Amino acid sequence: MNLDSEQTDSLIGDYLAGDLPPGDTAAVEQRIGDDAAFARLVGQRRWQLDVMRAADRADRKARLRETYTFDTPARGGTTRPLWIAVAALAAALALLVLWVYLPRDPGPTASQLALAYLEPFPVDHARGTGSDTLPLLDSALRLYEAADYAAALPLLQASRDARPDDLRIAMYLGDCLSLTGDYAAAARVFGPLAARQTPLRDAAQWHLALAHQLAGDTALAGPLLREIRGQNHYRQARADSLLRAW
Amino acid sequence: MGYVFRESSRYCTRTLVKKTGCDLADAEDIFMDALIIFRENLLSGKLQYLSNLRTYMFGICWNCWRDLQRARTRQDQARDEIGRQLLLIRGEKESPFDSDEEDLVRARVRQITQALAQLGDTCRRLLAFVYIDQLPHKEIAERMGLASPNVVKVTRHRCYQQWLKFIAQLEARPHES
Repeated sequence: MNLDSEQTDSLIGDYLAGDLPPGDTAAVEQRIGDDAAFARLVGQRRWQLDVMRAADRADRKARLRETYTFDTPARGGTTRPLWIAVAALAAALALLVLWVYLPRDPGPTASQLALAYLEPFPVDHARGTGSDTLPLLDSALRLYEAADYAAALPLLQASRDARPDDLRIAMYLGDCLSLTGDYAAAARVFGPLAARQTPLRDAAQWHLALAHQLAGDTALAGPLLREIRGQNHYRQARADSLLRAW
Repeated sequence: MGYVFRESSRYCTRTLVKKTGCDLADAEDIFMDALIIFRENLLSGKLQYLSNLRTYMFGICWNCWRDLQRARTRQDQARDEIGRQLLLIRGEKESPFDSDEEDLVRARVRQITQALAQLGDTCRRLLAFVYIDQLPHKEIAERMGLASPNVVKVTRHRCYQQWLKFIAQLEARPHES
């Protein structure tokens, strides 16, 4: 393989992104084994991407620290009286007996997973310039990005009234409703989006399935998740994990 | 992430303190690392099945603690978050800054992050979606309002090459980085 440096970097970029077909991936890995200089270059590019990831994590961690505070009480240095240990052991044994004999509830784990999967649809900053500007929407999206979904909600509803055909506004509104716990209303927003052939249909379908799941409408969530799992859909694995959690 | 934090932070930090004897502040720091790793696993599809959220989160916390313990010098971890994250990502036994070439390594890290900062917002987001979140091109197209997965691929090529070019320019002028 005799490529110029830009072509080589392009090939390595594709390889590290997992974008090469299996045959080309195998050829690159063969070359890494045979060509020390190429292997060093791949290692260098991999390290640079690791720095990118590390910087991203550091940035996210700083933002998480600003958003969430721990309430774990400090541990004291004194030992506990014996009776507390005995009482704790008795309680643990009682729980064990209950755990063995009581029926298991499979529901909460799927809902826990659905909540974990619930991420706000990202804001597209490429919009909203020139004649596309809607100040109300700008304010709504600022609140939405700051995770103040309760405050963003009325502004998004008003934006949607102003632009009823804007698919992205509908997605933001649906997610705001989900993230403020109004899953039934979110499902009503996502339903029509998921039924139409638009670029956002797949995303709407997934968000609709999550809203149904969280609203406890497993009869509605199930078929959607099975459809997502059955297609060559990029959320196939997540749909599968939700169905297996039932 | 709020839900995951509320459900598992107390359990994970208390269990980590109990099992390892580490400080509460260290346990909280490790939990934050674990939360970010959880998000990455979720987005990249590595999280296939979750039977218990707390157990899963604690597993990540435990692995982070173990990896940080393996590092020969822990001074740099406290001082430099990027160095700490590189340790966790690469699983190496020492901080990248804990070597004779510390200044060179720090300069390289600065050049890489500066080159990222020089990219436009679209390129930065797209490279993060591809290389960090490992999202499929179809999802990236959807998130970024791009016409098709092919446009994502072409744009990714351009942004990646631009990033490498900026790094090379900064490496050629080390006094400016």
